[in-house]
Amino acid sequence: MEISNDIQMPIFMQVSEKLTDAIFTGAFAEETQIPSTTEISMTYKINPATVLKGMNLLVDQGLIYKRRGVGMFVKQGARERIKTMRNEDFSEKFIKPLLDEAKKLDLSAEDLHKLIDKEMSDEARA
Amino acid sequence: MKLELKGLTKRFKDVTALDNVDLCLEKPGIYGLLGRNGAGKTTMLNIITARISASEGTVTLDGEPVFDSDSKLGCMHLMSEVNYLDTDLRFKEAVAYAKQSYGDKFDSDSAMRYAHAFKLEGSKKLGKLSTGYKSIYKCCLALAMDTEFVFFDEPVLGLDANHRDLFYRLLLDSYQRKEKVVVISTHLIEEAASMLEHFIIIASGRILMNLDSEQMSSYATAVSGPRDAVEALATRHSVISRVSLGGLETAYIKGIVETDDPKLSVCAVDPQRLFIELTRNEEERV
Amino acid sequence: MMIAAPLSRNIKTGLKTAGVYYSIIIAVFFILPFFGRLLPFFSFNSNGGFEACTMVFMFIMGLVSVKSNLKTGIALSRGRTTIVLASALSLVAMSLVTSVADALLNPLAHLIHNQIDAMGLVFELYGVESFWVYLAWRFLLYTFLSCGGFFLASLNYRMNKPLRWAFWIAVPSLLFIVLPIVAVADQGEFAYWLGMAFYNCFAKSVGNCCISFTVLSIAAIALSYLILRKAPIDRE
Repeated sequence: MEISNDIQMPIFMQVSEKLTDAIFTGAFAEETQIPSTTEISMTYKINPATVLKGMNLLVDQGLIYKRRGVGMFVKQGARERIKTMRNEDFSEKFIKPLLDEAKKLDLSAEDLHKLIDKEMSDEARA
Repeated sequence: MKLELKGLTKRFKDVTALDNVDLCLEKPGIYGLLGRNGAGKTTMLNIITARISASEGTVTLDGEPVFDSDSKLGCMHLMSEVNYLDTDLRFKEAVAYAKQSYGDKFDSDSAMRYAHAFKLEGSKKLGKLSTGYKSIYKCCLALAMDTEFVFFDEPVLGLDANHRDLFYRLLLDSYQRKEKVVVISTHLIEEAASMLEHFIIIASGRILMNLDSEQMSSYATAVSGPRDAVEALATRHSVISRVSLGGLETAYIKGIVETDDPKLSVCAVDPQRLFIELTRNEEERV
Repeated sequence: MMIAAPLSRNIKTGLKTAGVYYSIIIAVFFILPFFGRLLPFFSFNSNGGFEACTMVFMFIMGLVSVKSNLKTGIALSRGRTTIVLASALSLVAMSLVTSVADALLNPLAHLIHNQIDAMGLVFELYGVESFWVYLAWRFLLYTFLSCGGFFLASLNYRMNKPLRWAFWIAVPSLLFIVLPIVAVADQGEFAYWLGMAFYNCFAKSVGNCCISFTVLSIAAIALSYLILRKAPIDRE
């Protein structure tokens, strides 16, 4: 896992993305403590203020919560919540760019359906 | 504590190394001091920490001059490229000296812990070390400082990739052990950028920019595409620099730029690229 | 002023160097002679004890302490005033240590080599036989020499290359060209005045000499302070 300076997403968003991913994949299980700001800051070599900003984003989304004097914990039901959020974002994040590119290439809706069906059956076979 | 530089000017025989610099450092944080070779970074740090005197202007800490004040100087530490300590001084002796000099503002245990992480033995004499380890020796002392201001002048000079990585992580450890103003002068912008909260860019002895990381990331936009399309957009904005490749052009434009033109791609400019574009000489456009 | 740290550091370094110096002295004056008996060509004709050696040692200690103290002092965040004062006080402390050490070692050396006076130079110069006077005089002599060394090194540190050349040419030419010319021109009047001044300050009595050493030491440190007050400390 690396954090990069030059991609288009601000660093604090990258941090929240990474943590969200870790919760979604189960690397950080629900009701367990996530690494501290210090640990995250030192691992990714990011300014602690930036880490805190990224973490606050997760707090706002209701994915983690603070236990006083202990640290940050993953909320019960956080995984389900991430799934819902990602479902909501799916169109915006993946379908829209797909359609934009398809427009440039003059692909029809039918062409796209065919391509998707083909990819899915290839993957099923593999 | 508030460190203030006012009208700071330093003239050497034939060059003006610093030209009327005003700067204020107060809020704890990790600051990057960026500048090309000869821009005046070392001169500025040397004047702040009383190694050299200014031709004009003042350096004050909470309103009082710093130059000959033990208590004010004791709130600062500069890790220089130059080796100041005696060559036959063992690391653990240096730690003892630092403790004696800085008292509560130096953490001996941390110094030994950092040295251990770098595999720097306490019995090693400064003069007997390689260039890289000389830097490490000085870095370990500076990282253990809990003074209100800690300055690093080219701390990773001569360090291999692993040691640089370790240094950055220990720097964050040091900062989180006690919050303070940490200023790092470095040429390796890309490596340090994600740790910096604040960017101070200095060129030809003047402060060119003094921005926090958010302002820095929205300072410029790179627009690339066919030259006509780029130029059509560029004429309406202030352009920092242009790079072209055949009919393809990239313009670095001040501020955030948006466009509907599908032929243009727009992206943010990372700090290192921005620095290069801002401080490029005419001769370097080859 | 936070002088304790630099002062103790300077003294520690000084004591370390003095340790090396005295082990050489002891080896030369107290151990070698036993082997020397076997070698007929090995003999002493010194009669001032090892004062002369310690004089050179203290002068060099003053010389070398400038650069090292400035650099270490500034690196560990001390102001110029403190650095110079800590240097001066540590030279005084080291002069005290070496003068006491010499006062104890000289009579011992006398037992082995009877050419060496138990009392050393002060008896030869002033005919005084008091142990305490001798100790005080020697202490002030070493202080004067180390502070003088400190002053010369400060001067050398501050001067740029052309100035340094000019200085090291001017001093000998003053001594060996200008003074003789003046002596011829005024028929030795100035030289006589200079000689008398020197006699009154140093040779007339042990008391005058002690006062002169003290005044000159203070002057050397004061001048060094003025020289170093703004000196750049940014090179190895």
